[in-house]
Amino acid sequence: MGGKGYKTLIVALCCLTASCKKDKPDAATNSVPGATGNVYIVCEGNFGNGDATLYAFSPATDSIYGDLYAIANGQPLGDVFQSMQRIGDKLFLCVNNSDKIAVVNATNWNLAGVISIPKPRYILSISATKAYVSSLYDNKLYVINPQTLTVTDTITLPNQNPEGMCLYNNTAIICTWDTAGNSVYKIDITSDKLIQTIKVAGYAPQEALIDKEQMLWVLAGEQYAGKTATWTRIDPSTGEILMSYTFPADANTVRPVFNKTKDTLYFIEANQNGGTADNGIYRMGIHDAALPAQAFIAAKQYQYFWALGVDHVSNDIYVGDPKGFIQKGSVYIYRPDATLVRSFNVGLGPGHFYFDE
Amino acid sequence: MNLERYITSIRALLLIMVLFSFAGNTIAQTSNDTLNEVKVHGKHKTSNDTKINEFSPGQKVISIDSATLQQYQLQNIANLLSQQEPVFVKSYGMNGLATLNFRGSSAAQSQVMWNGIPIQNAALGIADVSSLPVMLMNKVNIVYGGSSALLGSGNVGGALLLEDDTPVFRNAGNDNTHLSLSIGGGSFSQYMGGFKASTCDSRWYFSASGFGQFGADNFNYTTLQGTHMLMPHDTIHGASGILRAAYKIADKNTISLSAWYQQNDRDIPPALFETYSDKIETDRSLRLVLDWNKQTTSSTWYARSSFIRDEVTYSYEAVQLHTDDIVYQYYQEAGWKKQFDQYGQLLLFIPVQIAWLPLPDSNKAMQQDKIALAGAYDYKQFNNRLDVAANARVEQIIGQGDSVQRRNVFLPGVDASFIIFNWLTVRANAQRSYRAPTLNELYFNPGGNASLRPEQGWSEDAGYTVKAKIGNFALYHDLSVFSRDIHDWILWLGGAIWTPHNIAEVHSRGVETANDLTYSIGKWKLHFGVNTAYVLATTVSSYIYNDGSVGKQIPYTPRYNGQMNISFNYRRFSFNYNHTYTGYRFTTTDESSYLQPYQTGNVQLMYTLSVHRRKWQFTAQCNNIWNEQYQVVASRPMPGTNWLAAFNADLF
Repeated sequence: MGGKGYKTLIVALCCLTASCKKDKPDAATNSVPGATGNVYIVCEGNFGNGDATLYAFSPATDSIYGDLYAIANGQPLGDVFQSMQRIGDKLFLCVNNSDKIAVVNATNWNLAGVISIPKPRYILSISATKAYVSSLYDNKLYVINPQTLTVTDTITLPNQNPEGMCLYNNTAIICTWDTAGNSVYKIDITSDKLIQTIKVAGYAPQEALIDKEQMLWVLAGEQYAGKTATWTRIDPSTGEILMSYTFPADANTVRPVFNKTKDTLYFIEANQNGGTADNGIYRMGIHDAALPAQAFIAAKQYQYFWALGVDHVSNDIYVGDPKGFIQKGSVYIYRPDATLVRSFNVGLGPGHFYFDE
Repeated sequence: MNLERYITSIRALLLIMVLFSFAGNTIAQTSNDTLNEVKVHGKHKTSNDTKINEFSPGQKVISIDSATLQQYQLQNIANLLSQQEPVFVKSYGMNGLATLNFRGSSAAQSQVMWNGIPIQNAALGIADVSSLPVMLMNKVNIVYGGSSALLGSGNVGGALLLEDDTPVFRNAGNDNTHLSLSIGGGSFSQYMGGFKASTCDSRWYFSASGFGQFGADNFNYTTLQGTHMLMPHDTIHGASGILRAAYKIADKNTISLSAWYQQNDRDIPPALFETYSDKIETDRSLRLVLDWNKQTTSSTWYARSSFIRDEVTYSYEAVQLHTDDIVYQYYQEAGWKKQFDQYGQLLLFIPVQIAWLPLPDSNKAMQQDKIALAGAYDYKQFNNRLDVAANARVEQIIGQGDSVQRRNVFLPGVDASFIIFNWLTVRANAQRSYRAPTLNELYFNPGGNASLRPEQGWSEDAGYTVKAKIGNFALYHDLSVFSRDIHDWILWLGGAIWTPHNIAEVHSRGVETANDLTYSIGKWKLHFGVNTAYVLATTVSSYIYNDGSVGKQIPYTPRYNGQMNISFNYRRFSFNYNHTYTGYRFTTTDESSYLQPYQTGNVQLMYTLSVHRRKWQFTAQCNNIWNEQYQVVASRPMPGTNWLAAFNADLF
């Protein structure tokens, strides 16, 4: 090889080296929000990767804060962050696939303790010393003491997969997301005893809400298991079905919420097959005769929404787009007339909003 | 420097001192060396596969030499490749699933073949290379870059070719029967053993090989809370065996039947975010290959027929999940090679692949057929200095789910090499690549997407090889640059329910080098080798609204990856220090989450004896000598320093 060949080779190698991309990613910022007035974004993470995160948005300062748990505690939160609930001065974070509830101080997000519960889903706060925890793959409802951070009891239910819950007078209405079941269960919150079984119009009840007329709305269905989604409006004092609505067979309906006055119901229909049919944010009044035909906010092709919340202070509608759970999700904020006013990125798989008012 | 790192450093220093004192004693020995010197690492084509050897002159093919295979004989292919080749092995733990990533390809785009038969699980489209014992393989070749025209669907990033030796037939009275035994053990209650046996006469050849292992894998790891624990629920039992019979019908006319059965029972340990695990997986695979080959003066005819049954039983009691998935695959191929003159040769072949997945609790089965006509023409000129090949395949894919879907693909390719000087060879290669969606991607319930299109695109690469011998020095230097653009890249999206979509165009490009410098003097051979890979594999476009992945590196594709080997041989003794580096791996498509780079140091020793003219070998390996705490896959810790010692004896 001649001298000219060596020079050419050296120049080529220098060019190659110069064109190489820096390997080390940029470091994330570690700022934290104030302790009150936050909209928390529950980011599930990508199932099996242990990358769940807690984000916060401060409407007052229009600022986004990421991965609060890891910043405060120096460790990741876990796998599949399902939901959260404030009880007193603590936030209870249900981390489903890590079989735990991580309890953090609401002012600085420092870990205060861990409650071990298999596959926890949601928490219903009963009092300062009692809360119910639903969990998947079992027929047990767990009773915890939020002050001692211990499991104090379990309530056995007739069906599997306790899921959504709500309070009604001195009872708790419990859904069991079991495809074999078409009932919700009323529990006396003093005695923790099952006192009434209430039939609903469809199978696999998953969410329960109370409207402004103190009527119970139950969302049922599991589209992938062939159980069509239904809404049932019930008088919870008698168990009488007042109205029922059946969705199209392909509709996967999730995350129902009421507006501030509890006369308008918002929910997501999530088309995970990449299409636009039955895909977006829908809303209906509590006396509507039929399900809405059109999406209030339509999702685009290959997009579906997975988190929905209505800010009872501003009436803004918060929508979470998980973008396939393989990258940072996006949050979109809409006015009640569906005008988009703000969007920002959050952690993987935004699944719920928690308005810490 | 904390105490732990200090102790590790002292331990490593002591080990090196012991090794070099051992080497000194070896130098002092004067016993006769009746064995051939073994090559620690070398690169030359040794595949039995005609398509690779004779019709892919521009393709980069790396062969793992026999000495390296011997060193890793009681380990699996995943360990071998992760330490010796710049292919990224995505490993879920010491006994966990491990898949290949060639040049930024997905696991399903990285083909694994055994004696010319694709052995990926037909439902999943991937092969778990951690379940493939090195001991059962006589040849391990790695083909970098796609060659779908010759090797079929799934050969997008590259291919791992596993091969048995060609049967030999000898007259009675010769040294016709062989038996060798191997046993080994190491850290984490690892025990393994195996054998290889063969016998032949002038008409028949029989061989058998077997491998068994047990391991508890209960290594120390650091939890997310910073405490140290022993990894629970992590035993593995595995057994694997290959039987082969061959019959010589006439001169250069043989037929053979190979049968390979293997079973692995694994406890799947908890990930870092889990408090416990009760997951259990059992994999059973049966692979049968009937092969006929006939050579005449200018032609070669061949036919092979195979049947593969893969079963994966998975139990996850905590979520009441129990599955038993069985998938079947027929692969048939008939071909004809014709030598026209000293310059040209033609290969024509017809591959037919039929895979079907019986649905649980149903009489139905989902099926995918691939029927193709393929050919290649190779032309040599200028005293064989120029070697040019053109190839093409026309394939029809028939998906039979709830409805029948047919797709036709045309896959051309061309490649060439030219020996400019005796020490310098250049090569170039351009191939159209594709991968048909797998049965799971199409029909898995819930989540399958029957309307998926095949991934398809072009891959090009070019490179040169320098081989020079100057005095006692031998230099090997190889450089490859590559570029591959794949459209309709398939990604699984979802949370609770995952669905695959054709979502993106991904452009992969990069540079690989392989460098070896050998110095021989007397009975000493010193060797220094470095392999490097720089891979940019970025999303070019996406159908997802507001997608943050455009311009970003795809997940689990390190930009930088390399290995270094420093070794010496002295008579019967060889020592090798292997060092690997794997750069950042992103775990998300938008580079928002990543894993730290890691380096491992591994020491390998081999001592060979001649006992009654039979070879006995002692090998020892210390993996991760610097006790690096790392994860290849998020939340799945890898073991720290661990040992493995083995003994192999050729009995007759």
